[in-house]
Amino acid sequence: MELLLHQVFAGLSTGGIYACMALSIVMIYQAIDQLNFAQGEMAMFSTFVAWQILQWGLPYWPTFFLTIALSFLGGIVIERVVFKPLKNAPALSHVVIFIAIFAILNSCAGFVWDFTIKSFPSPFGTQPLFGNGIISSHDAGMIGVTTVLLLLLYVFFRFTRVGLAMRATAENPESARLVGVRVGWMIALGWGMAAAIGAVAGMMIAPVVFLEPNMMLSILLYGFAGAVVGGLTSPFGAVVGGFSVGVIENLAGTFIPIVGRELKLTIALTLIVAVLTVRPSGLFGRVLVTRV
Amino acid sequence: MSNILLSARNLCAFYGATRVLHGLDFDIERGGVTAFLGANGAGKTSTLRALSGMIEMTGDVSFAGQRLRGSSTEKLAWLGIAHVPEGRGTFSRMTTEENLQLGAMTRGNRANISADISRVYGYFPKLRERARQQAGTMSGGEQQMLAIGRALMMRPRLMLLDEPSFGLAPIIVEEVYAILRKLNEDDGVSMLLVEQNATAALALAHHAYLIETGEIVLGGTAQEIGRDENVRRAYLGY
Repeated sequence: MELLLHQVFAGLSTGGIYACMALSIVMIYQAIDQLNFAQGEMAMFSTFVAWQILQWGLPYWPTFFLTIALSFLGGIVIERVVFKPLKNAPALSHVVIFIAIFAILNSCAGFVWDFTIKSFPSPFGTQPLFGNGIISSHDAGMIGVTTVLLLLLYVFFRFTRVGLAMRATAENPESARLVGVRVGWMIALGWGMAAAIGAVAGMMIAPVVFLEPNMMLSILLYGFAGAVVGGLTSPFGAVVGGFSVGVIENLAGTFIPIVGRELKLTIALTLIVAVLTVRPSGLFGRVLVTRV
Repeated sequence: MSNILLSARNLCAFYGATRVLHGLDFDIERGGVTAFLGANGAGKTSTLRALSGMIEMTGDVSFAGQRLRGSSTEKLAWLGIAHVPEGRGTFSRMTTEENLQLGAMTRGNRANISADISRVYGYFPKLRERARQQAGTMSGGEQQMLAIGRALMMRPRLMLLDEPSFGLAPIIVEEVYAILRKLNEDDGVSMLLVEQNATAALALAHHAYLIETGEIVLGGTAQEIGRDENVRRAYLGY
């Protein structure tokens, strides 16, 4: 029983990270109809920036928020400089650019900070919480931080005018323009927010997976799995999908002997294929009907 | 203050390289209703889309003394042009109330916004019943009312209405037109109306233009156009 609980909580804590990645993927997908393959590398780069600022001696929490702000700006810059001019380009140009950003960020991080594995501090410590083995304080902190982040995002999208305008942009850009929403800036804002959410995910997961340029590779795959399971058109679905992927991955890794640690990542891909086969729009996604 | 709210000279519009409007000249009176009549594909919708910057255009358009040229759609909305598009442009996954709030995107004062939402509900009591309902699940008539209500939330200086009767039952068409008349007569909202339903449009409009294959072939007061032999035969059916 204790093992089960432990695995569920561990699954929820990494699931929160997958949920964040899934959510940032969905936000950009909603804005430009493309999957951002570089989402993980953006998060990794943000985490390196945080590490660098910590090395310069700033305490953890100021670094945390400074990194979020810098990542937000970085996301906006990427959209303005690279993607805005590509607005009417075919889908393949976007895919190539995503791969380019992926490679550029990955090798830049390796060039600046080299590829050796670094440890990244946890603000919550790693001792077991409540003195038993059910959940560590970092896992609990991760769940706390992602919950707060997701709640803030919910409030933002549900109750603010800018949030409303962003939802309008995602749903029907033409009508959004007609009521005066500055659609271009809403898309840039979406990129900024996706980058900022990714930064939080990166800084939270770095103490677990350690900091190195390829740290987000598997995390991004789980994020994709979460987004696909929940439905790429549903931010809520992405969050639910992310948490589910985290829990499923941990439980399967522990209780299905054949899966073990080595085949854990396979679960993400199996989930993607299974969901796409059975329910292509995801558990919460909209079925897109196109009139021909 | 001149009595002309919007005037267009030599207005041409393009879809890619294809020219669909070939030099239109027309004026829209402040506080009046101007109708564009014509068959399917004549260029009525394109005229509205050109005026609100949704397709490429050339020519001189001035709106309230300001020249519009290559302005973005969102900027035109801020200038006070409210376009009720073909197909209504409903934000279908949002509630009625959220749709109306989006209409007030160009406005600052929140207190006025909720007062205006009540005013829209006053015009369209059915929308009040549907305030929390997903807009996409409403009937065509309700969505048309919502589209007009959303445009009203902008406190527009000019409303562009694209086939408000499209796909609606005759009794709903009457209801929608009665409200448009009320908006024009009581609140002085200026309108540019595009319609295939010439009877309904001419009953409301003060001025009308007849458009055929991207050119204006006839223009005048609504009575004059309504009496015209060809218009009667081709568009009014008697």
